[in-house]
Amino acid sequence: MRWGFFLLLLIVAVVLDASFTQVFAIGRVHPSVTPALVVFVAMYANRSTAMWAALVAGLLVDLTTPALFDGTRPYHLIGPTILGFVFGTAIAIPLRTMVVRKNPLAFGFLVAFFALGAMVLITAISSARGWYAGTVPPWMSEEGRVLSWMWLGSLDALATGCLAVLLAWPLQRLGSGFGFAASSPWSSRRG
Amino acid sequence: MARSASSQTRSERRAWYAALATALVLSLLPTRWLVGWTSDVAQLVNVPIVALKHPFSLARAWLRPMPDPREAEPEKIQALESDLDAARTLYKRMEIENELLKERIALLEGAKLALLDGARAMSSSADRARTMYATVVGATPASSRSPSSLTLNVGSWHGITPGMVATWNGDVLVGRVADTVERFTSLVIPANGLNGFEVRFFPPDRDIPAADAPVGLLKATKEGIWTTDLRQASSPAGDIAEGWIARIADERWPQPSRGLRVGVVERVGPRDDAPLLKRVTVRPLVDALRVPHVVLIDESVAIPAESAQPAKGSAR
Repeated sequence: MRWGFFLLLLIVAVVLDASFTQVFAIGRVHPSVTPALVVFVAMYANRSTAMWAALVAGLLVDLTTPALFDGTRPYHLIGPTILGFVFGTAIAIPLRTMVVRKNPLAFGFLVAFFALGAMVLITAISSARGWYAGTVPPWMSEEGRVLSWMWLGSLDALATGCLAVLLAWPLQRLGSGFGFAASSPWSSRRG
Repeated sequence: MARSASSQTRSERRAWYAALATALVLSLLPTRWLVGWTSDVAQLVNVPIVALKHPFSLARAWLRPMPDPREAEPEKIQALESDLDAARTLYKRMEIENELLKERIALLEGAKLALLDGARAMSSSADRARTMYATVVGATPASSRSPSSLTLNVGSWHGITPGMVATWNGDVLVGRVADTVERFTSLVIPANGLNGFEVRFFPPDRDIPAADAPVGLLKATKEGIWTTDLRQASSPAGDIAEGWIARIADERWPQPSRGLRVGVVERVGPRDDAPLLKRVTVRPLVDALRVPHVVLIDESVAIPAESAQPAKGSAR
């Protein structure tokens, strides 16, 4: 895979998530672009490359998401999204052999699963961090209950899957730029 | 060749596990360990990305603008309503500022009245009092590096001098200005950090002459309270008990500060090693680190006789 091309698209995706995807928001539910890019790589690259791509994407998301300690002191929590994206990729990789890669609906389905897995892991880490003094889990300040928070996260994952259906075509067109190996060992017939 | 490929795979796997372990450790680190340095690291990424965010934000605002409830109204009415909103905001701001000024004047007047009353009780006059309002802009709790302190928004440029007495609510001692005063800020040492000053104890429920009130020399303790030793023999005013009020009676302090309330007697008990003495524990009346503003008093400037009335401009 051409890492330079991936990093360029990753930066665009992170910027879109931060500044643009609210255009598609319905109430408090809004989709993300970055998971679609990570899953796209996971569908075509080999396992090791896909995992590293998920790690780098998670790192960039963590570094662009500020948090507040004691309500006033900013910091960046590096790690939860990395682990969430790696976990999501670990879910997506076995599923890629079961779907038609060029089918936008299959792509959207995988992205939704990826986002759900990442959300569950990030929620678990946030829950563990709630034990620290001055660190309030996100649902404490917003939804009040972890289940409501996860429900909202699930809707976000679904919205991300829907947006991924729309993104499937442009990503397929850009596929040659990634420089993936011509034959993929897991599904040569389904390319 | 095969050996080289296998060692490359092994090293890649090691790097992968190391990266995952680092991510796991970082995501579970206590938050206070992350404050500061993580923001600096994130700046490396965020600074170039911010430039890219502007066009996308503009595109978002163009595609999905903020809903305007007056969108359907004619332009003239929209402009008039905007002006009306601005005028309302200005009016409210003036109202709030007026209230704050009233509070500040009342605080200064209260301080002056209390000083006059306290000075009369201590058989002295307060005609040389100088008062000054200051806001507490920083409160540093005691740490292994330094004792606790308050930072005020006034300094030598405003006329603050070392040793001025900081008060709260008219007549409660907060602390004293430290020996070094900066040009625009000053530090106040909280009262419970002050050591070795003389007080007199007064009962809360009846009035006694100052001359009959028991005298004690307060010594600060690590717990933020004071102790003093008094003779067991009862004073003309009766035995000191819990709830008695300690008031400054130290000649070394500025004259207008004498009579200020310092603390309340929390405990009176015998001293095992000195049977003729009793140990009195005094707790401060106010937690100095939580005080939002103070009135500083001093005696260095003489006030003309006609302006000795408490309401007249002693504040600067």
